[in-house]
Amino acid sequence: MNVALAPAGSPQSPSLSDAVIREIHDSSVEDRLATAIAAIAKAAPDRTAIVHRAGTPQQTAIDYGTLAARVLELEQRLDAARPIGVVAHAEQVESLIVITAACSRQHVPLAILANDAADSGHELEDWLPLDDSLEIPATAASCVPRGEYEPVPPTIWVATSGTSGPPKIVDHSWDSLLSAARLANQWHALSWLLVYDAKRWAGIQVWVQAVLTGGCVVVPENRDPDVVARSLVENQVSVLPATPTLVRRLVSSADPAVLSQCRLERITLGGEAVDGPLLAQIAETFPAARVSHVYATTELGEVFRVRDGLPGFPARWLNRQLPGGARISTRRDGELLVQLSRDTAEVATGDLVEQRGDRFEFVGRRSDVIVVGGAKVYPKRIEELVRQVPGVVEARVHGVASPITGELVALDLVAADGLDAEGVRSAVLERCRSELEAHAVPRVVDMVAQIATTPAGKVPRR
Amino acid sequence: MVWASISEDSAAMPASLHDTIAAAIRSVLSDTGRSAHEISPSSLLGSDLGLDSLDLAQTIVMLERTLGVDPFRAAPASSGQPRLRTFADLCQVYESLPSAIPPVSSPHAPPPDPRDHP
Repeated sequence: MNVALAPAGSPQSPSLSDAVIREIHDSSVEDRLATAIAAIAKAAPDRTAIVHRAGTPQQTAIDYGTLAARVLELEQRLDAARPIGVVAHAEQVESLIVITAACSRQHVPLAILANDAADSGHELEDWLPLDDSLEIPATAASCVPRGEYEPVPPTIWVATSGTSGPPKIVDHSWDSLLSAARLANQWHALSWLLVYDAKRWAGIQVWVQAVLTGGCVVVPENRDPDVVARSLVENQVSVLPATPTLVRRLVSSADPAVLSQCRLERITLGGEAVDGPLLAQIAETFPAARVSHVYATTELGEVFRVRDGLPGFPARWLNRQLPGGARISTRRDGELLVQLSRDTAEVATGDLVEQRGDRFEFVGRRSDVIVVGGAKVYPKRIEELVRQVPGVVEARVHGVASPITGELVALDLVAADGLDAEGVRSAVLERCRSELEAHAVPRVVDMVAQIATTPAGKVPRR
Repeated sequence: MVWASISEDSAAMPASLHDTIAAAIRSVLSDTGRSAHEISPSSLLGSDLGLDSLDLAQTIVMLERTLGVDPFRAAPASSGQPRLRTFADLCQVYESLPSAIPPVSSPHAPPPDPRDHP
């Protein structure tokens, strides 16, 4: 049952009791999500688990009691039907949570595929599709007769964000998803904003983390900066995991009066490299928030986390075992290599880094490099420069094909409201000419109303 | 339409195409605080107009947006890189594409029909 949300300003949910924490801790990895939902629901059935359509007058909440009942119902249906696997076609976060909790405890392989990654050549057509109704069709062809049922090793399939190519489907163990969640006390009973796509790795991690710690997942109606800001304030959100692009849009475009009421305690940036000016802007807007950025990929999971408020990572981390167990090194051309553990092979990440003093900073992805007359241009560096020009709200640099030079640097530019676009354009070009080599100066400049982001919340490159 | 008799004479060039290309060059130059005194068919792209390869590349991208076609990409690979020394050379590349003559309604103009070149 959906219940009306408590009025804004209500006290935060109390922390979890020791007994509940112990029950979650002691459960096996596969059982953990369902166990957590049941234990929290038993102790506090009215505790809010999910807030929908946040930032609008229509926002509604779903409590742990409701979630727990749905998980049990679905588990009974799965136990009766015994599908060889489940594909989650559901759109609602609560359905995804229920499906994931039920499938993992029932050892049913699960595919959660972002909407643009459907049918990527994997043989999932025999798997049972589950939509938001959570109903299993009576005639489901995927179901195996009882006697022949053999549980396969539990896995979860997720599509990559596809920033630099078509999304790939990667399989994970439940362990890699569920053991990544932080269960220490400081993470209990927090409100998390979900601006990530709920069906991508980054978004899945947010709702898994929130549910395992008795937290609340706040889902804004959309990614409009004012809707996001209202969602943060009205639900007393304390943790904001997002891409730098989404946070930049929030701090530069949302109503400052609303932003000043936010009670954010943590901002976790991921998915794209972070630059110094953005970190400074975040510190100014949310002085109380601790900011970290996470280096992770869908294939590797989290590799490291930087908490010192500076871009890039300390140079001394190279060629050393990091706290998470990974070891990072660079190729001669600056591409970052990651070895997750001693027994695994080194993986080329496609991310290029460059040493500046005692830091390594990200200069961009290998696939983003624009080659102009044989010279390499890194879009991120130009974007950082352009964003410093007064009147620039957003910038996106990409390559356009040229018969003469191979590629040319193109720039999409969003000017602040009420400013003369032509004046901003001239100022940007002047700044670029004074600070960049000739081949790196944008040659095709388009003034646009906004820059679209990918479903993963990143700036598209191609 | 047939553009069989292409000569160095600017009179054989449609005025609007000539003007469109000259306007693109002026716009590229003004972006970098430069200006062209006079653009004539015999103007050398490099030493007279001051266009380097990046300027030329920018001009071609701008013209692709105006005319809907990049003649360098549309040309068959076997035809080789055209000579690009003078303003007339540049215009000729566009002239040889019947579909490039403005106004162009489709942003994706069809490739030139070889029968138009007897």
